[in-house]
Amino acid sequence: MTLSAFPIRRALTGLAGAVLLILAVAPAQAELTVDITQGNIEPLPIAVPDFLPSDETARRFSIDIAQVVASDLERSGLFRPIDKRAFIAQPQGLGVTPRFANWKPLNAQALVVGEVGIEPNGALRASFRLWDVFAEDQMTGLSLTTTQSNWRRVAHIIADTIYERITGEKGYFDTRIVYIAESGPVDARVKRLSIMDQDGANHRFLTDGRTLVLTPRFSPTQQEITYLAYFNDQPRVYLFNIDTGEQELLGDFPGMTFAPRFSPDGNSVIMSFAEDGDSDIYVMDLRTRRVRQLTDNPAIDTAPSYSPEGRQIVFESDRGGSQQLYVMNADGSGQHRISFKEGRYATPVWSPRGDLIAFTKIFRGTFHIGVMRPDGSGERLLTRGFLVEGPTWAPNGRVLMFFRQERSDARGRGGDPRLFSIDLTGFNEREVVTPVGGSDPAWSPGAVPQ
Amino acid sequence: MEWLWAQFRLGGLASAAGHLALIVFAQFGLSFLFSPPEVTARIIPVEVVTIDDVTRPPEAATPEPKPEPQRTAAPQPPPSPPQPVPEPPRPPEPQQLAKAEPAPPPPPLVKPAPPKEKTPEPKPEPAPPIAKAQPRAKPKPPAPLRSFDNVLKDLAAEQMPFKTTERAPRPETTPKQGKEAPQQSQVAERATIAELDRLRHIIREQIGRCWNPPVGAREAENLVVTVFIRVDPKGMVREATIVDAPMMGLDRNFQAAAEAARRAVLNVNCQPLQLPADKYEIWKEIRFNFDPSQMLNLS
Repeated sequence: MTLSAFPIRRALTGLAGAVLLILAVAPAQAELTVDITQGNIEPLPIAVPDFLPSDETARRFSIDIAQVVASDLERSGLFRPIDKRAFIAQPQGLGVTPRFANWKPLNAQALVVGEVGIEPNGALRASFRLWDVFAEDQMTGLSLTTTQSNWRRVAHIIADTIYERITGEKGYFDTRIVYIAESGPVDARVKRLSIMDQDGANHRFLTDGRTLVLTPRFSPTQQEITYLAYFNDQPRVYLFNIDTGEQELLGDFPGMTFAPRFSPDGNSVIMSFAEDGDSDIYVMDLRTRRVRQLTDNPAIDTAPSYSPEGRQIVFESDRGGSQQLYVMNADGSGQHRISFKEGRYATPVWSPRGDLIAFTKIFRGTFHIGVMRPDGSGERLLTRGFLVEGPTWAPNGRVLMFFRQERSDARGRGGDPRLFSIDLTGFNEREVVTPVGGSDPAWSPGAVPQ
Repeated sequence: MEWLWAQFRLGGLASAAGHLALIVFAQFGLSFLFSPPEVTARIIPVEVVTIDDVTRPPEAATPEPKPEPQRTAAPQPPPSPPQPVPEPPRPPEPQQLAKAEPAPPPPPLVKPAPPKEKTPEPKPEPAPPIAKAQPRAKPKPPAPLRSFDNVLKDLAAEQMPFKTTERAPRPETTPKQGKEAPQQSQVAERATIAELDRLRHIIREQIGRCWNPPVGAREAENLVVTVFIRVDPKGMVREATIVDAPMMGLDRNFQAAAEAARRAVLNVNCQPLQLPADKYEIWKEIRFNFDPSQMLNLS
């Protein structure tokens, strides 16, 4: 959904109304009108048969790609891939309209027919068509070519295309997660900056664990991460290039800097700078390295996050006596509180689609992950636990990832933090399996740069 | 961020930072300052080529039997004749392939844990069997298939039951009458209001079970879709038309909502409509307004 489509939708409502009026008048005999206001929210049944291999060398990919596509869709909670053993017949080929009668009895509402082959130069080529089974219509089709080792990305892009075509929202399967991998006993925890695909594949440690690293955040435009690391005796904000491995200290502040986040254009980093127990919000232009102070308050102002168009910033502050969420303009003006319900609020994150702000809430002794509109209305708590914290949005603003930690036992066992994802409707909470414990996840922006 | 607040409360930043520095130093020494982290994350290009709609493949060699006349999607252009282009368009030869290298194997530290589902997704209840059409003097309003709090979850509301009363569904009959009333006068000669309500109740029960609207979409409450259908005497839907189809090409969210509504009326699992045969003249054409706003828990 592009933002620009909304005015179009509104503009066309009148047109659609006119069409409706004409149609309503046209038939000599009026039809019965029925309002349907209650539906049945369940994952959409979809058939993803193995892709058809062009030859023997492509056979492995034909099964694996279909498998990754199906599990991407399944994990979103919006699709239910149908068990392949239930299929009445296999598709005949990409170039042939499927026999929909074979798929309707399975209640397959959508059907993916794909082919995979190896090009003469060794490149992998995957093509697919998405069919609306009940409307008997092609919904979309795509052909992709890449190296054979890159087959998982092809599968993710296919899953993204299907997701986008059926739900109307951008897919998020061709994305990555950076997070803090945690291992070792509680009192000697090793924390390593790590990266993986959103489904946990291609896991890789980026740092060796000798540096204490916290709160990584992806750049929206580059293969860069900003995070908090301990240098000398100070926690400070760093910039880290994933491709080169270079890291760079941001700014020369006399005290500690923390809670960094990129601006939506990737040109600046907003963060907190603390001195003598007072923390305020600063923004640094990455090109000029010029620093500007945005809040000036004796209280603790921290955890800033930009709105997607970069005009506003949400942050947390205890200036009113307790930790609450505030919104201000990007230049620091117009600061006003938006959270008013019982409890403390922390780590606000503005959704990439702009309609919601996710947050951590400490309420009646329990941690929650919740969402509210930017004006503070419509607050909903999605999940709770002994410790649930650090929400991060999928680039389509539909799914949240966070980490969850249970209480450790008397000997310090258990209590490893783990990553989870949840749909913004509050359903479909699932663990994102990592090799060791994981905390502070950060979702990469939309498409991985090519 | 909790650690941070705790530190502030415990007596000032200076002492906290000092302690942390001590811990870090004790743990790691100074060597970490000089060792660059091991990093390898190479982006490999993917060539993307869209298969044009024109290349819709021909029908299968052995056409499936069509027991009834083909449905027509009215506002859409008629399906283009099958074109002999089963081959998807070939993309230009990828240039970057030579440079692309396979990703290095993960370090031995990585122990890929078997994927396990700690929290199984909430399973929707299986749809109950289709309600039989039984003439009743007083049709009850249909029970919502899924309650408000279920569509968009709010744990706070679950904790405080008194809140749920605020979210109670509006009685369905009141808002319904406004939209549906005009139709009643037009068909009044053939059906009483009670009869029409009964038909609507049956249709709602059946089609609602197959309607799976995109409730998580942005401004989902505004995605109201009107679908016009023609039904054969056996209660099978023979034609389904999205009334405001032109908007589908301009708004992906609307397109998704419109197609979800069309799937609801075309889904054979919610057919045939169990409607009294002697009233066929009334229900042979039905206009549906699919409106998800009541399903959304918006305060």
